[in-house]
Amino acid sequence: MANMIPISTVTAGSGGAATIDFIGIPQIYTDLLIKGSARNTSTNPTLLMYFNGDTTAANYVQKKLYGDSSTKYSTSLENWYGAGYVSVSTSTANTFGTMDIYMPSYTANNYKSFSTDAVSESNASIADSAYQTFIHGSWLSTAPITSITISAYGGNLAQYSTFTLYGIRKY
Amino acid sequence: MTDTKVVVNCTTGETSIVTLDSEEIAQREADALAFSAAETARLEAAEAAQAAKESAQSKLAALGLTTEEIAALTR
Repeated sequence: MANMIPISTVTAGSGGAATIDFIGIPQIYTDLLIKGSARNTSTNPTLLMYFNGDTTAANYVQKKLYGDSSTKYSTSLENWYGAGYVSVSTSTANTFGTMDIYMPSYTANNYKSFSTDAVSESNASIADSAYQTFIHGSWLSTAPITSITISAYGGNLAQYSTFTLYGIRKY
Repeated sequence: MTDTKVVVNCTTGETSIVTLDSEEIAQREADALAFSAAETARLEAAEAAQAAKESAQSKLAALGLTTEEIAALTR
């Protein structure tokens, strides 16, 4: 039976944060999992996530299924490091989106895959304010994941945005 | 936008507030520009698709199809 061990929790303080960075990730687990609640201070719902400081978009590929309050969308293969859509500045005050990010075999010497499941506030129909997102992607690097950076595209992570990193042991 | 980030060292448990360096600020600015371009393209495509849909529905109606029949075709 898998064990889910909390490694670190970080919360954006007053004024928000440009990024939240998990560094020095222990290399002793099988997989990694991030559970987060977040709000982008801009009108853009996108959160970004990259590994080991690598912001070269061509080093990431992903497919995305997503929908807003009225329409469903899908994207073909993208060179991009998006992590999903959360609540934005026009969402109901004090509401946060939620997300899970799973990263299997993060220490292996293979390309790293990840999957995300994210939702923004769901009790509003304002454009760009009620999204659900599924992403599966890969970081095209054989390096073990030692750091993870999460940022809010076009804005900041609002105050009280919180992410917890878990290590998964499958034994 | 704030120019600080929150860094947590998962080995030591230490959390610190760090000012972004010039490279990180440049990355954020590049991200914002890229988003603006991508969003403009997405909205233009969505508007074009909606216009095409409405045009097709009008032509179907002109051919004598009922609203229900058009909805059945475009569902």
